[in-house]
Amino acid sequence: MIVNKMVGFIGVALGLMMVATGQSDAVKLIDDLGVEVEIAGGPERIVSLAPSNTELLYALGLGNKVVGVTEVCDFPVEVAKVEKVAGFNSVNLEKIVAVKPDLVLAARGNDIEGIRSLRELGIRVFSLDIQSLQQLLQAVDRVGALCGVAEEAARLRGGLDKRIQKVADRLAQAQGKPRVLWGYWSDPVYTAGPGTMIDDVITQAGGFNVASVAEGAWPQVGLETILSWAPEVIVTTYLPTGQDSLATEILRLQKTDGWKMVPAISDSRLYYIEADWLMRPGPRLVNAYEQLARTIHPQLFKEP
Amino acid sequence: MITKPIGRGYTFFGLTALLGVGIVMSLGIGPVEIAPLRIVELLAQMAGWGGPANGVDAVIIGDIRLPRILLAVLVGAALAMSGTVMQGFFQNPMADPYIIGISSGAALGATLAIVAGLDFWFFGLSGVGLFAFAGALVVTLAVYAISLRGGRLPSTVVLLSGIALGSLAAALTSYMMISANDGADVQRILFWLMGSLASRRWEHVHMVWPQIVVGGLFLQFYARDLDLIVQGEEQAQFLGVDVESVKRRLLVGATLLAAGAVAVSGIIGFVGLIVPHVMRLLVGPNHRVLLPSAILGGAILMVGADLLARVLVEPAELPIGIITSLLGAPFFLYLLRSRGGIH
Repeated sequence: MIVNKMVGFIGVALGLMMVATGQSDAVKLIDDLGVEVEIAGGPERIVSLAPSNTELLYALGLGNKVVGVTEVCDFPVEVAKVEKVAGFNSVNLEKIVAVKPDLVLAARGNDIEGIRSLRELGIRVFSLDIQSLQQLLQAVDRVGALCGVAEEAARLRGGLDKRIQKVADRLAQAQGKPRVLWGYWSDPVYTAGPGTMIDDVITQAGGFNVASVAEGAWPQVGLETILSWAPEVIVTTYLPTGQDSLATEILRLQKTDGWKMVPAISDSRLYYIEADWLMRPGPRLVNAYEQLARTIHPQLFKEP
Repeated sequence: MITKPIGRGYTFFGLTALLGVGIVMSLGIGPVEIAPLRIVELLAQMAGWGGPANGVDAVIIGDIRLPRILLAVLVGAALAMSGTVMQGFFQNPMADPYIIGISSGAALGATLAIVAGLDFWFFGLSGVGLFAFAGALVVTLAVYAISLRGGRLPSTVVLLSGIALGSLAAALTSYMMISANDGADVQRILFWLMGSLASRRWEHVHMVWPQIVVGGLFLQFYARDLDLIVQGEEQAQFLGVDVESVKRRLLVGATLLAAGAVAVSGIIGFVGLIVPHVMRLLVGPNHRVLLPSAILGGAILMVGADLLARVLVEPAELPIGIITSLLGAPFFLYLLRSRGGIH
């Protein structure tokens, strides 16, 4: 599979880069802002500027080196004890400087001016921009190499690959791509347009993201558009009335004019998926992928 | 006759002292605690006494807090001064630095830069800042060109065409946000629109201080002419003021100040509207005194608001515009009640 080929390719590329630097332990990588970042021997004090980065660092066994996280970082639970040095997307320069990091792992969505300021202050920043399952897997390798834990990264990557492969094998027998909508049944409906990570995961999980035909990353559409898209499955990451209320919500929508005409509603195919799985480009994105595949193609996952 | 409210000397002294206290507090207070004595030591070292300033706290004071405070002073002073001139120019208490579409033009420019990926720094200028500045100037020039009637610049026409062009620019901005392909871009635009001094550094100070200082001196030079125009354009003409030429210059000066401020801070509301009124209540309507007071008042409000923006919800930050309004509005209402109305 493509995934496996990519592993090999990245492994070779990383190896070459390490050789090229002349030192066995110096790693040079280009981050997703196009900046070359060099580090020798792996960082000892890491700041994470996104929940997804924090999850990745802990999954790589680097939790004991994380000295700063954002106030929205909540997984794994040990993160609660780590100093909070950033808001959900703001970068608190002085708090970050004060924890003396030798690596700041930034992410898409961080205040770009803040990242520039950190670099101006002489702090090493590596910025990730993960927009697909594939890029997440690559990030595991890249961050592993950067932090001097390539072996741990290979193990994590191997496990994720295996899980993805298992699902992909089943999806290979799928007939057709059910029409899937990510969003909540409000007015307007916020959907995930083309190029977003949600769009990618839906596609990888064997669905057709109906909003991929819209313009822009997060199209807001009305009921009329939803009806014309006729989604067969609706997946939401937001349930204000609690997860147990899904059944009641379905019954309510089946009696609501307009909504009751949507195939996903009339077939009772409304699902809830953990926002932290699907919205965070961390290792738990694979959980979202597995759950989505089962949700979209339940017949392929019936145990014999 | 211009009446003389409470001793002007005292007011000036009081405002300067207040600004001084604000700056010292802002240097001393932040998400990271640094002992006051250590700050004094660091400042002395930075000024060249007693060896080089080293360590994490030196970076926090010298490279993070200091440039940010200076930027707050510059932006506050520029907005307040520009607002004072605009209120005089239009003889309208609702006027502020953004009234002729400067903010909408700047927002359009910044949005364009962010959406088109022109967000880089070159020769010490930020792409977003430059586009914001250019957007503000383009809208102002258009307003100017539309309003010019046979060498005259009727204030009402300037005002209305400014509002119309501002709406047009705002509509284009909204459209670009709605159709942006990148959610992160939209978020950046939203934060820019709310105004902030977060993550600003010396580069930003270097980028705007010359313009703000020159613009400020320029406006101060025309303070007396502005007084005469406020008392009546015809009368000013009789007294030998080239009214149309002065009005053009005032507009240029006020625009340069506001556009410069917006280029580094995004759109910070209320400072340019409220501070001029408060200062008019405190020192009277004479612009030679009013303009420098507005500089102090604007700087005080911005330094104070920025301090709160940094510490209230740390480690996150509040958009500074929320705080300028929360601080400014009640104080303004209090003055309005206790001093008996706007002059």
